[in-house]
Amino acid sequence: MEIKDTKIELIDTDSRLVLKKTTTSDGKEIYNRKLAVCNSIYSCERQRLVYGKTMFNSVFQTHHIGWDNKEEEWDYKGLKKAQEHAKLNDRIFVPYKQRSEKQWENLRWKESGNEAEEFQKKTEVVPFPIPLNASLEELKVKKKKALELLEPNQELMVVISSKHLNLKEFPYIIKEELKNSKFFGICCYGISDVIERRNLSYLNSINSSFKVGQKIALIFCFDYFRILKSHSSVAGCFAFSCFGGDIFSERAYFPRGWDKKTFEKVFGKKPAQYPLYDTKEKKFTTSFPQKEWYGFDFTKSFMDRISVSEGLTGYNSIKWINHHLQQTDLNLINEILISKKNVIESLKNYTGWSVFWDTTKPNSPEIQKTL
Amino acid sequence: MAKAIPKWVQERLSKILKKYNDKEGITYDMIEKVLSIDDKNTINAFLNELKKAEWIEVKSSDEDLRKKIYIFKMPNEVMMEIKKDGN
Repeated sequence: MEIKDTKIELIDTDSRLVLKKTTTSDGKEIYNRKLAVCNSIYSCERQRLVYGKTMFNSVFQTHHIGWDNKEEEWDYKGLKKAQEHAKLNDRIFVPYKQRSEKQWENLRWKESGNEAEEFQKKTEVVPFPIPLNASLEELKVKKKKALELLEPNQELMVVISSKHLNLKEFPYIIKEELKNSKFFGICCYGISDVIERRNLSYLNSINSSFKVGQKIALIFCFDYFRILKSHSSVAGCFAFSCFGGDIFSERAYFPRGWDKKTFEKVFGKKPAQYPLYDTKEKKFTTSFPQKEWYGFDFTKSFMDRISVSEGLTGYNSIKWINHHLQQTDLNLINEILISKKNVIESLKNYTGWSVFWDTTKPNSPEIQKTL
Repeated sequence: MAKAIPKWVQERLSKILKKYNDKEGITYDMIEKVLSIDDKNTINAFLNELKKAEWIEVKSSDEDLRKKIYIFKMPNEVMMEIKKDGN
């Protein structure tokens, strides 16, 4: 399956939230605000397949490639299998090298070119990460070279860091890419950094300044934290969807490079500590506050009802259900947009969304004036 | 004049009033204890919504000026104000 194009369907002028419609080569029409089948959900799907269970409903599958600290090289293990799985399920497969902040700092154009060359031999969507100080002019030259490598059925996806340091050029790069590409990737963090906030505000402003019916790129948010703990534990996908994100692929974890302490910290968690997405509050909660607030522990109640035939461990079952619940809520935002309700008022009916909107949402119109 | 508040704020307010109905004014710590599901961000947003909608009055504590005391209007009082405003 290939993406034919993506067009702006609707823009809500008050919230500056955008609804985009993507048409695929086989005639499917998909709205934005979609969770991709990321590394962990793909792993759940494989386990569920053994029991003949359903897949996650998304046409996008991403594969984050981790850096192996011991071997000091990128670990491509599983890439081919994941790609086959995506093809079998008629999905668009998007590979992504998950860089640490240090690796982003050290990224130079030579490495960007090498990455395009490397993935040109492997996948249809070819990622092209750009250095933190890149300017639009440089990008145009380097991108032209990279595009020469591609076959007609391949798409280049420029990936920028949300902590891009060339602040002056960031808006121009965004504008150019949204206007002239099918895919655009952004490496996201936790919206706690001034530079990240500023860049995301520009992304949001530019994304919502297109006209209805105009072609635009799909914005892939990679590497974000699933739970934004410093933002009242709202879902990362919701937070980045407020800044223009369309497709979401959360941070992947690669336990192979972990020390014993980190390993125990992550895998030694008790079920009561597993965060469950609360669709009423629109944020993640754990057992104890649930008991205090609702009078019962719905993480436990969910765990008690998990069937063995689902093929997943308790921890993965929570992950799987969280993914579904988050997607349901992203669909709800689209429904609010389509029904032409007062978007901000509707979002503010829910705790997590309301608090995030009041405390973190950028003041887009002010930035708009400067563009 | 009091205005309508979002549902999530109403839910929290009713929990607080259920526990501290007979109190003259309550402190941030007391609110924090009732709203166990929330972090400071959420509690501040909750108080801000109430303040904006004129459902609470904020005063400094007589014992310690750094501390704030929140005085909640009773729901029937607020309803009367909203009704009056609507007319």
